[in-house]
Amino acid sequence: MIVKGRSLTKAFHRRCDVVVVGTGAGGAMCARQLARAGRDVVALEMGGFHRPSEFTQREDEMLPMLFQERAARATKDMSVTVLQGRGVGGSTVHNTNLCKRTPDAVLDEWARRFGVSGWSPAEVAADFAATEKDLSVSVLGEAQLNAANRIMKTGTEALGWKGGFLSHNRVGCVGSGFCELGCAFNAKQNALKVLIPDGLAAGLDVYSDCEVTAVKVERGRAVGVSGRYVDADGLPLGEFEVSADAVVLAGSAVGTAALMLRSGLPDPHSEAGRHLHLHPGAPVAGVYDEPVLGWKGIPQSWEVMEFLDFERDDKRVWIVGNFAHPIGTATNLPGFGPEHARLMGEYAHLVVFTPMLHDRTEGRVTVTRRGRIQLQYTLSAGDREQMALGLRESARLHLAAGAKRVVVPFVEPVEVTSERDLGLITAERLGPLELPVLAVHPMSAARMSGSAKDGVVRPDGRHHQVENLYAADGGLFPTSIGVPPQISIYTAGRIVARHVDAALPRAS
Amino acid sequence: MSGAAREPSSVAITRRRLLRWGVGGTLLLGVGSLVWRARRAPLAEPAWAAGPWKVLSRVEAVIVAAVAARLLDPGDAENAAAPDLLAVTRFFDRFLHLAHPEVRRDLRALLGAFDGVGPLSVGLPGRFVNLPLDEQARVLVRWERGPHPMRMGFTALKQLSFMAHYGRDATWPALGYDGPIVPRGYAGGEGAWFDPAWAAADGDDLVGADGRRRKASAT
Ligand SMILES: Cc1cc2nc3c(=O)[nH]c(=O)nc-3n(C[C@H](O)[C@H](O)[C@H](O)COP(=O)(O)OP(=O)(O)OC[C@H]3O[C@@H](n4cnc5c(N)ncnc54)[C@H](O)[C@@H]3O)c2cc1C
Ligand code: SF4
Repeated sequence: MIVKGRSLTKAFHRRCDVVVVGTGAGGAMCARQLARAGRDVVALEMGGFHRPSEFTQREDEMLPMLFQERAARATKDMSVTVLQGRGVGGSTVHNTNLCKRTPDAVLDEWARRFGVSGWSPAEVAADFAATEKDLSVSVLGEAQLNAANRIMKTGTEALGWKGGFLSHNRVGCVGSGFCELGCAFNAKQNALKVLIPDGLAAGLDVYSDCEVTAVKVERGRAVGVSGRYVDADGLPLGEFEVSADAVVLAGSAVGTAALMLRSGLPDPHSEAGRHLHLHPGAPVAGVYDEPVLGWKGIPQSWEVMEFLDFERDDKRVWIVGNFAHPIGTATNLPGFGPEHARLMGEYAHLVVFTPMLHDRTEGRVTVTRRGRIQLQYTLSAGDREQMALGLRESARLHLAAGAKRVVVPFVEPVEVTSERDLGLITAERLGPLELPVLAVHPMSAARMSGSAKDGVVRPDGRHHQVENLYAADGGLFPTSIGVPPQISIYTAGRIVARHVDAALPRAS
Repeated sequence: MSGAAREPSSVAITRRRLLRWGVGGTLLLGVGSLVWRARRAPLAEPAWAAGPWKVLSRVEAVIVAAVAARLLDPGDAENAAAPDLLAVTRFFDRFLHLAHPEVRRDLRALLGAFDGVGPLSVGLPGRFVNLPLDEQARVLVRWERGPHPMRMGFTALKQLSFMAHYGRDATWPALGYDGPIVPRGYAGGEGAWFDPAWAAADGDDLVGADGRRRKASAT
């Protein structure tokens, strides 16, 4: 069953075999797998439970409803906006459904540098395949390219670059283009549509509007969690406790690290919250003669792989289309007043490409004494070079695709009308708040490692210091993975669930 | 709770605040709000500024509206919708109401600092809300392109103002944007998966709609 915390009127206590905190990619998968294995599982989610009929395709309503901090989460210096989900299904409710496995080179690096066993390409292949089957992953094709992605493909081909169709997890998609606001057509094969119902059918209990504020530890063992149930706006209504034989944290890289820190879990090497990766990206807008209506159709179906090579440090840029509705566009275009309004007047003629970094920069999650999550992240010199490369090449792509001009939204905007102007885009210009930088893939802040010295959890998801405590979300990844992470995170949920189940006694 | 009589909160220079905003930002907020308090030049308050607001004081409401009016001024841009300043101010108020208390405090301090120090940052006397429009625009450009703490302030004001403005249907025709394609409450995509047997136990009934008993107990 699903219990909506916003309707509860008194404190509650539950006992179960496993309590899972967070119902996004990692949490929903882990909870479903454990429920299917016959465990009594409770999943707690701080956000609401929303059905497709509530996805109104309006930014003013969906951004506060579906995103952490009403879509205003950002790094402490405000230089990177970090979009993350909040609600049953987590970030999978409003993600753009791109599906890629963790690259083999990345998995190999984890084994080599972090002693991560059990995650070699051969060992995880079956789990990846099972995840892809669960989510009905398929390759997009010519028929699903919208006008903006078709322009991107034209540019890629004109330049002779490496590019191709992306894979996605949609069934019954009508190409409405509102993916980042939740799907009113219920076409996303995500945690909310696939895994939660599967889990419910297997006996899983989901409590929405229930924010966990502490992991309870007794004599070195996790014994449950406590928190508060909240109203539709996230304001506290009352308290709850869930006791369990095992606790799985899946509140995302940020949420899990923050909960570990808030709970004061033993952390002798101060690892919790460190090593945050974000896959930062920045918009490069091309203005085209003909109206493109870039908000219509599947937002991302084509990728450019020319500048992404997992064996090389100087090729860490993935370029993908990225269209936003009016609020998302307005907040990322430079300037204000009439100048900004005129640029917005060209909205129907804009196509946006985003270079996204396979980042080496390591940021940090911290929590203030009053429980506010703070993120620190300052692009390293190497990543600034890569970002500049990505911005230049995205602008070049626009020119090759026929843009009449390209706007790189620096505080003092750079307008590119010919290749000569590309030299204006340099790493030196990339100080904090020089350019709107956006991140939607937080990872690594509670990373796994064979050694407690450089990781929070073991390769099976088990906490290095606390018994019966696990993590199962994007926080596990020891490095950036350089590709959209949902498939990797769903798969991590599956792998960790297997270990949790194996570690718990079976009732005779 | 009505905040009508309250002024922007003053800013103590604490270690924690230093850590959060950096030295420059802390000095800016601290000096800004002190200057703001010392100067209290008279201010024209339209009737609507009285609220009711959940968080904003009357003065803060005027500051928000003045800042938003400049940020969202469409000038001669074709067809662009004029801002609805009351709607933008309501948006700020609601955002502040639901924000973490630390965010609320910092944003309110920013409003005071911007009004008080903003003009000084371009060498002008007086408060932002009383400046001529072109001077107000100069202040905003200075904050947009100035040292990091000013940029942070500008970014916060810009993001919130634009979120409030471009969420309104009235702004869309000028963009050529046709808005949502489903009517409110459209449920065409649902039935296929959602089994009413799982429908939540609303309220504190922890016995599922499927009739299964839960091991829940009220404490
Ligand atoms: C706009 C956008 C587009 C994206 N597009 C793609 C894409 O195309 N392809 C792709 O692979 N990835 C995409 N992603 C990223 C992907 O969706 C996420 O990486 C993935 O969902 C993260 O999984 P997770 O389990 O780590 O966290 P999440 O899915 O974010 O789930 C965490 C959940 O835990 C809850 N939670 C946190 N703390 C607590 C607490 N203390 N108590 C209770 N609950 C808590 C949160 O509310 C949230 O619901 C996108 C993300 C965004 C924001
Ligand atoms: S484009 Fe497809 S998946 Fe995205 S919101 Fe529209 S129907 Fe849903």
